[in-house]
Amino acid sequence: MRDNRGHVAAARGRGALALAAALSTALALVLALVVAPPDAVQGDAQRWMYLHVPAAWSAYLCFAVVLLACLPVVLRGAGRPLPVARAAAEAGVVLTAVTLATGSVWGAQTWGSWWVWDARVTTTVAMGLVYVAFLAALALARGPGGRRAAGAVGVLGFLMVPVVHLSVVWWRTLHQPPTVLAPGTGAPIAPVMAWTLGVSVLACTLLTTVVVLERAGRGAGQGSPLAVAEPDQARPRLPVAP
Amino acid sequence: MKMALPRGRGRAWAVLVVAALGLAGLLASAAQDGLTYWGTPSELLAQGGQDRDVRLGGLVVSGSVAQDAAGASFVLTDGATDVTVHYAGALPAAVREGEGAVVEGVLDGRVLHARSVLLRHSNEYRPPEGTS
Repeated sequence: MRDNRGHVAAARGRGALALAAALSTALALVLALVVAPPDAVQGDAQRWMYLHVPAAWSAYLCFAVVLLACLPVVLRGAGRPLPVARAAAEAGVVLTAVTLATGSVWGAQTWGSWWVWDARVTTTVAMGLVYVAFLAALALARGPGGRRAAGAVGVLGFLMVPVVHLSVVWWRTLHQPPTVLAPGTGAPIAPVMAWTLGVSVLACTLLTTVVVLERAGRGAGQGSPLAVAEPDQARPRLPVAP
Repeated sequence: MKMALPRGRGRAWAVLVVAALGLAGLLASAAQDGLTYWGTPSELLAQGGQDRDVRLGGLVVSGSVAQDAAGASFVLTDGATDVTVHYAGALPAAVREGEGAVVEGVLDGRVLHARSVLLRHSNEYRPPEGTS
């Protein structure tokens, strides 16, 4: 009985979350494409920021979820949180690709190059590869030892997030330093642009949460491109807390 | 969705190997060339040598941008040292005085013959003057 009530509440929670994600996405689109002014220096190309930054932030967030989900696996050999880790890592890899793709277009329009191997781009590609390797290790994991090894990749992989974020501070790059999440005081940004960025980040975070919960709940990544049939995958739906 | 076990594991191994090789490649190139993308005029001139292939970064000096049929030139500075950049072609429209640029090419004394010109932009965002 309790279980049942929990499921109903979880379903309602997810419905509300999906609605919030849809509304904030609609608002973010209007703000980013209509309300926000073009940048004084970069013109309309700067609007890529409203997709590029939220994608990068959501990727960081996904990898934080992977870290949290993998910690108990490494420390106590728990197996249950791994579907969440897989769903979050998949979303994180896709979001890393979106970050690189939008950054590439933005770079072509402002830097004059579609691709440069500066420290920001190089570390971002490395971060994506780490989580591709994590997903492969997870798919290959057999038994507690294998799960622990994959979990260790998921935990240690998070080290890439501060490296990527601070790469523009630590090394000389073509990419500009951070504006908002900067060490010390950030750089000036017009309030309407800051609001637009804030709503875009919120929308992307909510969308990512909806997708990760949906994929984590639905039979542990059966539709995953790296899915390997595992005997212990036939477990009941996980009521996952965000 | 039906997926045969060996195929799934084979694919997962392949992905793991490719990802690991990619990471090893990135690490090797970072260890060899470092992660510093460009050198300042002072650094590159201090290293001396003639006709070296370099990647130079600095601020475009105000009033130094000249464009004619033969090509373009401008001066890059780090505040202490200036290097004159010659570029056989039209500069990207976004070359702005006072903004950063990174140029690749051959450094000959204080003159750089650029192969490519990349523009940096700042981390400040604001609407154009006159609007708000």
